[in-house]
Amino acid sequence: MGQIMTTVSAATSREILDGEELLARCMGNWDFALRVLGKFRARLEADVADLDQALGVQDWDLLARLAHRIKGASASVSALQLRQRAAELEHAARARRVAELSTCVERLRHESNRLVQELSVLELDACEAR
Amino acid sequence: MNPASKLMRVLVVDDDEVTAAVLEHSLIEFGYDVTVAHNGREAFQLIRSGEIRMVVSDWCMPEMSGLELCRRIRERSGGAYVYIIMLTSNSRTQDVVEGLNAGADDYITKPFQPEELQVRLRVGERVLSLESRDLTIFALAKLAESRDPDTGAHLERIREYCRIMAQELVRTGETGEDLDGDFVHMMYLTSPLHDIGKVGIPDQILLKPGALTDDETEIMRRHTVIGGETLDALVAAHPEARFLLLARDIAWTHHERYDGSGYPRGLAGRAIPLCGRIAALADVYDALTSKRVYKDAMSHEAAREVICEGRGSHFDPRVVDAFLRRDQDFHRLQRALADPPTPVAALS
Repeated sequence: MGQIMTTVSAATSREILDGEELLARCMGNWDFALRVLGKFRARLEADVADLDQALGVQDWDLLARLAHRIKGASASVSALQLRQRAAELEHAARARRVAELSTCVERLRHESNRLVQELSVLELDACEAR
Repeated sequence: MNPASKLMRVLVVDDDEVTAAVLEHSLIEFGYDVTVAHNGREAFQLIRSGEIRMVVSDWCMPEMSGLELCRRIRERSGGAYVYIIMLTSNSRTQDVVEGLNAGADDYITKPFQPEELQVRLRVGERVLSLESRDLTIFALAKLAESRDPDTGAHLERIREYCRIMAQELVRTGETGEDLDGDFVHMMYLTSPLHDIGKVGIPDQILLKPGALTDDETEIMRRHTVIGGETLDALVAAHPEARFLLLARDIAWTHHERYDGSGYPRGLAGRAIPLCGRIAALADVYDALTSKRVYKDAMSHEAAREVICEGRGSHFDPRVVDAFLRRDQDFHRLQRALADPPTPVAALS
């Protein structure tokens, strides 16, 4: 399993996912870290879909709440860029800077896709290592 | 960690299941017993059980925010101190100030670093251990009791009886008062102080083996006033220590009777604080079922009869009903905590 850790460090930009920091937060338990990432990914995909809906019905409070939740969860798994994008969206939604919101959501989605792609590779590696 | 020692229970409150899972995992690794709640309302209900001493809470949550949770915890009357760490991504100075003002003890910004979280939890444990109230109270009560060696494990039994009746009254809610697990805990904690005023009674009366004269009875009865006034002075000096209110009321009123014929003030009905009405029954039951140098122990069944006869006159009917519903627990405890037979040598 430690091999996967090396893979994450080498192939994944730390800005997308800081594997070392995540592993430290998971007390060195990589199996647990993978389980958390799986949970995170499922939640993220659902939340990103809900962002579109909130944007569509112009519910800025909901948009801010979802962005806040993505920000907290991505901080917990050390997905630094996504955390940054979520913070920008939350800030814009709370400040009612409506003109910026579509762009913010788009940037967050882009980052989310990059991360999900990395997570897929990681899951594949983990399966092979087993 | 001593394997025999009880793990400290920490409540994690976060609506984000990912953060909650990572936190829970870390805390278990640190050696804590962890419970997870997903919003402030759920967390507050768990805290009312009286079993949670430390909380790590998120700020922004649905239903009840972490900030509101802090306020609600601090607004409670009585109860053990709960140490609260806010864990949030709100990192501006004004957020920190607002969190601490609401009653949080510490503040950590997300994402947490395990080493930092661990040392901050240790700080919390140290703060809680400073509140060595429980031990101090019992030590004080034992000190008062040491002047009267005839009473054996009286204090241990009294607090158990009080806990059982308080639990029952909280469960049924029939007193119409807003009671929760904290009340049960406080009754358990403070009921051993009921006779603390006996420190002010002269030995020749307190330890007199025969019947007391009228004058001596009058002096003996003063233990309620001495205890009440002593604890009242402490309440005045430390109004923040709300458990002292309960201790004072128990000391002052545990010999009052529901019909107003008790002492020292002849209070009746609900004018007697509930804690005093509960302690009164516990004290009488224990006196009846314990052996003294001047009398034998009564059986549980006979004591039960006496209590029933006092329903509505000596005792609050609701408290008697609570006793009757749990009387088998009384019987079990009475046997488990019974004083050992007096050695023959001690009688000679």
